[in-house]
Amino acid sequence: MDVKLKPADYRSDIEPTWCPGCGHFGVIAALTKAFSELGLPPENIVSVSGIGCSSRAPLFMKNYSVHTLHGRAIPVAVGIKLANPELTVLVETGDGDMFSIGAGHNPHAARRNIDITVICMDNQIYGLTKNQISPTSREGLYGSLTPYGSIDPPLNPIATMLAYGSTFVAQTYAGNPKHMAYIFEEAIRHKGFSFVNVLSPCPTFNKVDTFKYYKNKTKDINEMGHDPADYEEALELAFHDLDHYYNPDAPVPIGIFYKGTKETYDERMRRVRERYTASGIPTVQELIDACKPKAI
Amino acid sequence: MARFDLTIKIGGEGGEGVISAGDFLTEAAARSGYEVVNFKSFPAEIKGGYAQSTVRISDEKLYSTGDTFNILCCFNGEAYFFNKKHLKEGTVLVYDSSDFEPEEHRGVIFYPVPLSELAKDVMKAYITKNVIALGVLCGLFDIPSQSIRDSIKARFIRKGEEVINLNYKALELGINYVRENLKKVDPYKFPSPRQPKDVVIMEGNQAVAKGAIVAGCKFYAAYPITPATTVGNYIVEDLIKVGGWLYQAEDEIASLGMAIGASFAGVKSMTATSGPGLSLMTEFISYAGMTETPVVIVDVQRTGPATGMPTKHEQGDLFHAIYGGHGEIPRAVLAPINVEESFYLTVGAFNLAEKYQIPVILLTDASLSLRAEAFPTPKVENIKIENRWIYRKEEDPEGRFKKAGRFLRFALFTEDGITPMGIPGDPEAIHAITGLEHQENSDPRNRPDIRTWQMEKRMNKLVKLLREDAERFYEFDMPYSKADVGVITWGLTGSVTKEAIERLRSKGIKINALYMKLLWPIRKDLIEGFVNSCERIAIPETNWSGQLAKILKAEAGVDAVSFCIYRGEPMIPKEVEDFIDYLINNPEMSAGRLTPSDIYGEKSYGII
Repeated sequence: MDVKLKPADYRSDIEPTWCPGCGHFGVIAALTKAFSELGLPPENIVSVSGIGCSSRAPLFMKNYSVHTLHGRAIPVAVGIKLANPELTVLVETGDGDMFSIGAGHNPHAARRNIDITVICMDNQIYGLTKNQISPTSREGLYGSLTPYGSIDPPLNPIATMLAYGSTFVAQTYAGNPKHMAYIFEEAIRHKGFSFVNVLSPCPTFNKVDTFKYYKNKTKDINEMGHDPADYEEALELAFHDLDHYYNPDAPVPIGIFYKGTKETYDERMRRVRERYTASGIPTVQELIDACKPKAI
Repeated sequence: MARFDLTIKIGGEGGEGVISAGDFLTEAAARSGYEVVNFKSFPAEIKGGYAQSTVRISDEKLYSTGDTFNILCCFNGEAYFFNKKHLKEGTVLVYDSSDFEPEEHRGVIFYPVPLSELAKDVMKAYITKNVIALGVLCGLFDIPSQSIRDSIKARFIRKGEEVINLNYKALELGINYVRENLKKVDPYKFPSPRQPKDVVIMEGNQAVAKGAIVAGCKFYAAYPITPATTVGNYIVEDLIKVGGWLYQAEDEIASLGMAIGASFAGVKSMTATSGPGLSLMTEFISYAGMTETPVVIVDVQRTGPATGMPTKHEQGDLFHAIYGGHGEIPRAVLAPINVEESFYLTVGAFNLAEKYQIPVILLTDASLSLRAEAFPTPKVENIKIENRWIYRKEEDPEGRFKKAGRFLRFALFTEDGITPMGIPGDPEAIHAITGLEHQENSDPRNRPDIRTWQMEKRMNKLVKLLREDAERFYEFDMPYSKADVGVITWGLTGSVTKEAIERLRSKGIKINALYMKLLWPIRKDLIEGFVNSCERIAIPETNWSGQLAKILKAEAGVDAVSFCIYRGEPMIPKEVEDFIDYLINNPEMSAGRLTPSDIYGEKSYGII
């Protein structure tokens, strides 16, 4: 069957439960478009998520889906990928999962270059629990637990993931479907750990970082001449990722910050395995018999 | 009763070869066709600290390392200091006379040997001290030196001829030292070799690792924690050779998440941890139950709470294993009483996990993890292996497991609640799993009817488990239709109890015993049947509460007397014996809780 599936063929018949105007609708539209462009068989895709509005995404897709615990999408995705490296494994998650409760998992999947694609729908808010600030919320943002306006400086997702050794780091915006689909396609195609931060506005609770806010504010760093192979420049750009929080004239950078080449974890795993089995594969009985007291 | 029962304890500084000396003695016993149990204890420190290895050899099946030792071999004064209170008339003390001189002990037989001096001055290699000591033991007690030579060769084969020959020389030096300088006055003698049996020697954690390989485990997620780490050490290379992988996770939460992910992808998977790790994994255990994902979690229990005593024994995680977690899930909890069972119950844990698509927790403990036993070589072809039910379209010609193009992973129409799993890669079984309550096709639902039916689907899997797979995990030893006392026990305490029961029966006490290897779910009828055969029920456990006693009270209305020791060391057979004797002398006591102070007097922690 060489006929390419259409984007709609990757959608399940479950209607998303997101609020009207939610950025996440665009994310799954672009994601299914990327799947279609890449010609991925749905049965070979596993979408893994944590908890939150964004983490419902896998349930709306027609592929193997694992809706896990809050913050734990990455470990489950790693287990799936190691068990069957032939699968295309994605993590579809949010800023709370990625940078608060589950933040401890990111550095390790990234530095080991596990070949999975992490898509973080960053709306700078906890939506499903109804309006609490997240690690990426700007200072001053109101939440139900910070009625005085947040006094916490935000975390920089791009710089963080670059520092952790992610071999693909990009940012895109839910209001730019074409750019999103392109970035997703590149991220999935990339061999190794890919991280995509999607600025995906929450129309219900975050009244600051809205579609209106981002309009005409995003700037494509690649169009402006940034070479994704340049790690140092990527870091430099990343440090300015949040400038717009403090400076109304600063742009919001989108595009591929970094794309490097490094052996993936499963390639290394395969090499170790080859070394161990070079002189043949023992039977299970032989592995038991190895515990007999040896008589020489 | 055994005609021959000898216990040799070697103690000294960690890193001085105490443990390998014990291993070599263990191998010598196995090669000579005798039963052998070896208990090792390492210092918590990385370098130095007190290490010991206790080797018990007999012509009959051994259940434990016993109450005490016949021969003590001290590599240094510290080993003597820790053990001197157990020296009694007839005990043999072999010691490094270049390190210390013991006090006077009436009736104790002394063999001073300047072990350190011989190693330094004669061998010019301090590292050979333990092999010199083995030579001394060979010379004194007729231990077959050829077996020690075999062990030396096997151990040092990679280090080359020179190292092997150096150790042979050290062994000879010890043997000759005895011949030229010591006069044997004790009665202990290694028996003449008999037909060797086809056995393997494994440590507890090694048996878990080997059992997992036999079960078909292909993915192991590890996070270092004492005393569970060595399960990973033992399994890693075997796993790679059979095409699997061990992944060192960033924490225990991730470990179980990875194991669940790998299982979802179609691979038998496990993780091993200890109490603190089990606490961290608890949310994911609940998730595995909800999503019906098979996974095996080994908890090598250590002394809690909190960080507790990481290298020490306790049976304190039973409540957690059975009840831990939010909400209610189907799960099974298994616990071996010895090393051989650690092997077979690990296979059993995988079989239950796969057949019922549930998380299975295997409870062992720090002492069992370091105990080595020789047991009959398992024949892989005779071991039954269960595999999960995987959806195959050709087995579903009517499309029962499909509805409106969706795969019904959580179909409600199977009688036993078990439904086929779909494995990624199969276009016919595409589906989701979610920790949210869900309907047949995995879609999240809050409806009371769906919630009720799905809850029943999951929990009722245990009904089938109880019917088909529980009884073989109950070991009954019921020679009396009405026993004075019935002992119910689990885990390592079970093997200690076996030895105590032999002694009690030889004193004429009518005692029945039940060794529970499946702690959850519970076969109420089997418990009741046992209880009815006994006047009173006694449950010795190494925890504060008497956890099994409380569970059996709740589940089967059992009134029992608990005996609780919570000092961080296992019970010894004599203590179980004294507990039962206490009950015999206090006929009015039929329920309640006893501690060592009740039996031995105030401020007692037992008689170790």
